[in-house]
Amino acid sequence: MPTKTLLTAHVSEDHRPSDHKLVNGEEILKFKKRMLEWLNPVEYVNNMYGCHPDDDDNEYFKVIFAK
Amino acid sequence: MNHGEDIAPLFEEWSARIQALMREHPLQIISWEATRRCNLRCLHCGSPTEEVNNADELTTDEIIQAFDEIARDFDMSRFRHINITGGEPFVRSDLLDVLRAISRWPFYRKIDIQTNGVFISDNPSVLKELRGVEVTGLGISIDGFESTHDSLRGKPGTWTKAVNAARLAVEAGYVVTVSFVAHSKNIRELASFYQFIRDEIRPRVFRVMFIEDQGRVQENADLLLEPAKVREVIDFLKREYEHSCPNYSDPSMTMVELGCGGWLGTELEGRVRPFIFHCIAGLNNLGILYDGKLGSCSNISRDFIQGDLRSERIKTVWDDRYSQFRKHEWKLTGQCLDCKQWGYCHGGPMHKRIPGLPHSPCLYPILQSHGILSIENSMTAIGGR
Repeated sequence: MPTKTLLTAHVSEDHRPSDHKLVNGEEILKFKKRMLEWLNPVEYVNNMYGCHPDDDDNEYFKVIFAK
Repeated sequence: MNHGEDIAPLFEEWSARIQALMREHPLQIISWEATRRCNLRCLHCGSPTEEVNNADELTTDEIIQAFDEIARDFDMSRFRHINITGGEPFVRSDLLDVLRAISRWPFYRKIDIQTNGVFISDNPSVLKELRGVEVTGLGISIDGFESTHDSLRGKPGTWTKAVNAARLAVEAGYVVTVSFVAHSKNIRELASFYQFIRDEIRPRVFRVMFIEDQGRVQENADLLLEPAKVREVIDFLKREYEHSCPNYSDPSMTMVELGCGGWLGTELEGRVRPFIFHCIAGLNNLGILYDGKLGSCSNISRDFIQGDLRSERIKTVWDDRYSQFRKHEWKLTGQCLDCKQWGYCHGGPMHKRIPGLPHSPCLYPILQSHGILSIENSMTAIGGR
């Protein structure tokens, strides 16, 4: 899919641990609040099922990290 | 970014939902330790085969009957997932037969297998068969670059096979986690190895776990990490997470996470891994051990075994026991006594509870004393006991 390809390419170029600086403070807080508000408090704890959509097609990571 | 006042009520609500989970303990995950046998002999193995009597392993019929019994006895409306561990699960020649038999139940639909990748690399056609029996995820252990990985396993070629297995699994559409156990011999290559995995393999998750002082590590104590190195790992994960998490909704992206290392504090939780940690053992996670004993995750001490499916109904054990997993006051000793984070972590993960020790090793004071908690979190004055 073109969207994924573009996004992936962008991140690969820009993703260098050595020159990192925190640029996403507000987003990180937004995501953290969503984690805390998720109905099942252990929806994704060291288990991969969060990577799979549930019966209502909700996928934890798609919801938590939505823009 | 001091967000203590803003986020404190959310932590209180989250903690209340954890308390509800302890009371309700809905069955959502079955962790099946398929075997303790293994085709490798890793120096850092936490579940070594020599600790057990492999002749006690559940037979094909016994494990199928156990899954059938659970399907009949439990309310499966909230069930989500089976996690198969070992040993090396693919050493069981009947693994596919078991999965084929239980796949007739509609709720055994999301199954993950934790493996060293050797069998998959040698038998890549198994990936198609696994898909047919509802396996959707594969966790593959790779602990650094080739020489590091192979030297830990004492067998040349295992790294190539593990990497090949991970690559094939990603290509086949599985949700893949590459698991990296951080220890003193591979810590120096963590960042570069992560870059390699992210760019060349592209799994969904790159999971880092801290080496634990159990199993064969007790004979290889030089693998344990000094506190300063623990801090380096957390620093790395925090940096990577903060930088890349805005893209995590894209399933083609690789996420970093810290596995069940323990509670990091209200400041760091949600900033190092894509979830807020709480030990799930016995809360929603039932463990079937290799010999039919009932516990939770396979790396938890067998001193915490709660029952035996060979002689008891699993539902009765799940409902009537597990108090050590669901009522945590017994853990409130030692360093936990004065910790204001107790109300969130409840003593940390069960696998860190070593019988005979008054309390378990905890990450939180290590992170405090080594300066990673650079922002004094007002949560510590708000939440907790």
